Amino acid sequence: MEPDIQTLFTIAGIGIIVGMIHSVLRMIGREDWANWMTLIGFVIVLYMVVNFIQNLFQHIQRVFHFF
Amino acid sequence: MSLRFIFGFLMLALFSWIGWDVARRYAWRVQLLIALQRALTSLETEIVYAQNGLPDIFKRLAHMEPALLSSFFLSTHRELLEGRRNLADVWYDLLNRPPLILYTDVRERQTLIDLARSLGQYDRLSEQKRIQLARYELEEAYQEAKQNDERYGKMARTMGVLFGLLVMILIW
Repeated sequence: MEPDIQTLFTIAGIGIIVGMIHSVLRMIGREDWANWMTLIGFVIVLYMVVNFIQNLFQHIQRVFHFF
Repeated sequence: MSLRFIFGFLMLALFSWIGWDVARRYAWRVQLLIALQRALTSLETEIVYAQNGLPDIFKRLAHMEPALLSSFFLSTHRELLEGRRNLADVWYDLLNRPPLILYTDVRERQTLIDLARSLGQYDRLSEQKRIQLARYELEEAYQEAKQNDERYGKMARTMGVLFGLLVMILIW
């Protein structure tokens, strides 16, 4: 399962927008909301890449003969 | 593809509109507090110098103020002419239902109701002092509302657009 280019662009877009939201919230002095927003963005991206990570671990196991 | 495109733009428009609406509420609150202070100044002038009766004063204020406050003062005028309830009860009802409840805080409503309780009960000098006290409290609320409008109004607009873009990217 190869990561396609659209997923990479989606993740980049989410990163940019979550970064902007973080900056806006910090600017008005809401660091707590900003941190929560970053965490939510991280969870969304993690949910999107979890299959790729699983695939990566399987490859590593296969390469080093862990099973 | 085209359906997702349309849905994405609808989401962007929806979130942007929500952001603008929240920002507009902050701006309207500031406008309302300015108008209320102006109305209290007129009320003070009418009571102390013109010495008119309360129903007449509220009718005149209804003609002077913007739509939101105009209907408030006009309803007060009508209720006072009917004479079934006192001013405090009338204002309690009018302030605790839309549209005024959306733009006023509990403190401002209480200030106005307290003022309504005292109007027509004491001599002119006491009434003038009470109106000035209410205006001072509204001025404090106005400063706070202005600060919130500058800070959170801009934030609401920006956040609306950014959340819209985020949702658009997620459903793309």
